[in-house]
Amino acid sequence: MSDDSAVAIEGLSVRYGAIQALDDVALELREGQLLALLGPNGAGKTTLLSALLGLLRPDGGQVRVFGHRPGSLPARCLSGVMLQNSGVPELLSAAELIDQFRSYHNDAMAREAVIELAGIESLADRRFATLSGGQKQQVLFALAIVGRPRLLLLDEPSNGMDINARARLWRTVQAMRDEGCAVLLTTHYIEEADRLADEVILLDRGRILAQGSPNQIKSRLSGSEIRFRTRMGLKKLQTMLGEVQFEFSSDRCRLISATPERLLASLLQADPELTDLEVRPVSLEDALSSLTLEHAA
Amino acid sequence: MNTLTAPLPSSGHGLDPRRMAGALGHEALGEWRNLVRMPAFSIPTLLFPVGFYAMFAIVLPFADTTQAAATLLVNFTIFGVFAPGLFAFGVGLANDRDEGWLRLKQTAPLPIPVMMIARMLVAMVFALAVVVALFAVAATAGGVRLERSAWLILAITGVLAVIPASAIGMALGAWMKARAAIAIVNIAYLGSAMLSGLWFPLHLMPDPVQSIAPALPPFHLAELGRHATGLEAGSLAVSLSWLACVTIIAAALAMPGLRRQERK
Amino acid sequence: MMKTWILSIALISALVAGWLLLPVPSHSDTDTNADGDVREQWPDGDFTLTAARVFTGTEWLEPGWIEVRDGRISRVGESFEADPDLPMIDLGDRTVLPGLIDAHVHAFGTALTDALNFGVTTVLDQATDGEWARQLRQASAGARYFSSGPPATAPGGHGTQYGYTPPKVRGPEDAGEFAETILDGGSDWMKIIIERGTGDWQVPSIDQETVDALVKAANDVDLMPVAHVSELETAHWAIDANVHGLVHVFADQPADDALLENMAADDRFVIPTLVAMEGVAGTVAVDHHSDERIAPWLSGEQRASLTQRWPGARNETLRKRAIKNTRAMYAAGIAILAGSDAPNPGTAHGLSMHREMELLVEAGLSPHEALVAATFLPAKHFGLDDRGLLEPERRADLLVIDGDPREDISATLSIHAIWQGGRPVKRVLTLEETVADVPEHGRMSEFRIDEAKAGFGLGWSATDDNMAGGESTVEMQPDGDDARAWIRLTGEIRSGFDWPWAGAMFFPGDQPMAPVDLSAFETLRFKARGEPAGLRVMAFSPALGAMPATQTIEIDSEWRDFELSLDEFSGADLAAISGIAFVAGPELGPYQFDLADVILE
Repeated sequence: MSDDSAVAIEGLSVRYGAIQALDDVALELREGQLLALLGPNGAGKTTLLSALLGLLRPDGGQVRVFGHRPGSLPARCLSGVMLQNSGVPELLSAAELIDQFRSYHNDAMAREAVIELAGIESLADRRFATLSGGQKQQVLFALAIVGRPRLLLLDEPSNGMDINARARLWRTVQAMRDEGCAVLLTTHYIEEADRLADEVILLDRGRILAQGSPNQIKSRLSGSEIRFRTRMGLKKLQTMLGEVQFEFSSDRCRLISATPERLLASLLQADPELTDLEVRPVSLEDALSSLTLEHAA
Repeated sequence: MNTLTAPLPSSGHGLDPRRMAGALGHEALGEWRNLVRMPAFSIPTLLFPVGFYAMFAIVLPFADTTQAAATLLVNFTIFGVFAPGLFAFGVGLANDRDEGWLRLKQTAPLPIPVMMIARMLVAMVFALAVVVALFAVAATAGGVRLERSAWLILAITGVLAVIPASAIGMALGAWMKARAAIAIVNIAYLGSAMLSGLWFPLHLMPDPVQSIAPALPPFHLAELGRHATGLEAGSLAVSLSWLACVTIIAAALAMPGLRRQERK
Repeated sequence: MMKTWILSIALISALVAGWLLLPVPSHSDTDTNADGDVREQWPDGDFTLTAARVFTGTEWLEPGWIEVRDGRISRVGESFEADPDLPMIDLGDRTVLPGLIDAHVHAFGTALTDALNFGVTTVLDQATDGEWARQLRQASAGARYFSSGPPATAPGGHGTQYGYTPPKVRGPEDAGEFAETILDGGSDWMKIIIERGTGDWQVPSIDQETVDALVKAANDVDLMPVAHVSELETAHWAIDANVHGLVHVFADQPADDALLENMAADDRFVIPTLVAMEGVAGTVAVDHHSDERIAPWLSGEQRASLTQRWPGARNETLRKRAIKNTRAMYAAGIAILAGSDAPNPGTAHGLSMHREMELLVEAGLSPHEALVAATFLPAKHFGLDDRGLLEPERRADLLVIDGDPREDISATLSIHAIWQGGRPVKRVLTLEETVADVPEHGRMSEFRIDEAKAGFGLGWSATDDNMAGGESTVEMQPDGDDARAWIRLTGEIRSGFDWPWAGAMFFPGDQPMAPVDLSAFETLRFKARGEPAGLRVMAFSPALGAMPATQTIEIDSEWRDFELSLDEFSGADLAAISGIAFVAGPELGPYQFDLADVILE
């Protein structure tokens, strides 16, 4: 564990009855680092977050937040948390909620600063109940940063936010990261993770499948994505592509190849009337789905 | 200097004790706003006891003697003050758990007991409002005449009755789903009020009811009220210790419910 | 922050103020419950009680213990082992007395409950209609009732002016039949009225011979004869005829030794009724307005009789002589019995027994002897051997008071509890009636063009001196114009009464002359105009008797505003004003005036 470790998890296991929600998970999050936690539903993201917040007691392993037990008062003081589907008293206004949360901290941000950072200037006096899903997320984000946390835990923060709100959110998160705040983020906007995260962890069925910078993850899957329309039938494609996996529906085909040049040559030879051809580098999303598919196979 | 992220404190974590009072105040203020803005809570809480009291004591001729007038006031005071704590915790806590508010609070640096105390204080304010409304009706139309000290002690009893009511509400709210809680807390509330003789004199009730009453907290709260107003009542020590027992047991039952592990 | 503090302080102040405004039991007694009832939850019939002092009717137990079973006393002592099965009442530093026995009343209306409300558990009615007596004997509530039934008096004599006709006693020949008649009617003793009147008031009276015959007839049917006398001479007739007691002390002249010796020798008694004498003498001295022990508990009838006055001037001599004769009788060893003669003017059922005891102490009895006179002696002389004394077998008629009446006899008014036949008595608090009388605003007039409407009370009526024997006339007519409505009083002041008057009278109470507390007001304002003359404004108050306090103003044909300070109605008790009159006179001749916008401020 390094000196600037914000979160240190070793051998974390959580079991719900027969289901192994987390299985021997280890990770470290350092100050100033933005870690994106990715994985399909049921992969164990929320369980990991709950363990990190002390909301559940793990069956094995150790979790430390700045060296403190998760859920302990010092750990809570240093963390800003934004959970999925957090209800708050719906009859209070955003400003009232922010004031209430400000009172929990010794050295909270000024209300106006929080409101500006969360981009909710126009919402501050509206009751929570009257806000849209994305606006509610913005208010919850405000509550998370109110105490100037050293560790920011964000569970699908941008869910439902419009494009401006999302931009504001990431600007603030990045600014905080730049000031040394450790950020743990779960998101299903993979391009966000791609763009923002220093490190990505792919979680599936309680295990870490892959870990590294977005580029490292991507490089695990060298090659390109190829899309085209063809008159070839499924059978012909199968014989032609051999081991290469592909998606096919009516006349559209999508595949990922490590040797795109060779494959393209044979494709064009087999069907000179091939249309709408696209070739591009593989995305993180592709990399992840290919990784999870691989893992499942 | 960092503005978005505070420096790591070198030693000592947690909320500064000086700020704790402020946090309690804000917490209570939030609770208060939420409850007063919720007509489903605030209106029945205030109007039911006053309405029922007015019906029994003024419209119907049940307050025909001094004792009867005082008895009715005591009964409906207890009936009235038992609700805020019971519902704020019983229904409120179940709601907070369902909605994730409690989870968010558990991740915030506010000790959970502070949140509970704040909620109890707000319930006490509601109880005081009930007391004020009932006393006003009793004094002007209910023909109740009590010594000043008796009025005061009855009011204090009414406000402190929020403590056992909150503990019981907490035990219910910590374990139940919000939707079930509304029904069950209502049944518990009205049932225990009825069985404790708050609505109709116990001696008019069937024998089994009469034997159940001494187990019910509202009965003992009414006993305290009767002591306060010089009406005939059983042992003060028994009532106080039974209420203390119920409060401690209920709070103890609530704890594991609040700490329950997440299931997903 | 400042705002929060101010708000908090305001809220707390409001709560404290609200708390201070909450109604408390009017009785100062700490454990008397609301409405002044006395512990109706206290045990009924069977219980043990103890108090620092118990007066049995003849002696003092300090402390005293009383055990009651089935409404009767079963044990009395300075201490005994209490039956653990009986409820125990510790009355602490209080005094338990036998329920008081008023040896001279005339009961009708609410007399019995009024008496009981002041701790008088038994009354002895000295002359009434036979049928009334029969009904009162069966009354379920109030003091227990014993009665002489109709009195023996001369046709048209004293006692015939009260709305019933006693059997005729024209002379000795009627005595036997009279005795039989009242015996059949249920009389408990015989009352003989020997009254010839005094001064201008002359009435026929039975003569000495008839007295003799009546006493003999009474003895024949085993009724105890007692006599009403008001003169030394007729007292001699009665005592010579062997009546057992006199139901008044006479005050025409000092008692002579012969009478005193005769009375003392044969164990006769006298019921001086000094409180009634005080009424006759016009020296009534009971504070029924502010005394917390009295004011809240008075019924309308008690208040009425208390504030009623005999006509005529104060007569200190009469009062002095009555006291002096009582003192002489007491000194001679004659049994003195307490009786009030309520509801004669200046007296009230129940209440006046307490005053009578004070007057007996003034006449020389010790407080202890005054208490004996109010409990044991009436029971003894009227043969009521089931009460008047706290001893086994007698009824548990108990009066519990704060303090020690031997130190101050008026302590008997500080009533803590009353039991009658072992049943706790719920005292009736009447204060609220009085309070309700206090008008919320002072708008005496809310005149309309066609109506002499009042803002409160019974309101406005024409008044003139006819009731006092005068011949003045008055007519009251509501009228008005665009600016205001008024009442117009027209008529003529005629001679016929020394102080002739006629005009308008405002009654603040809900009945004529019912006193109302107007002490919240300071000023009487009104507009008046009329034929230029003096106009008198008069305030009537029981404290002044029949003579009102008067202020005079000058009016002319223009509307003018007048403002009178209520304090200037000298002698009037603002806490009890029974009427305010605006009258012309005493100059003779026709008059006319208009009155508008009459308001108390």
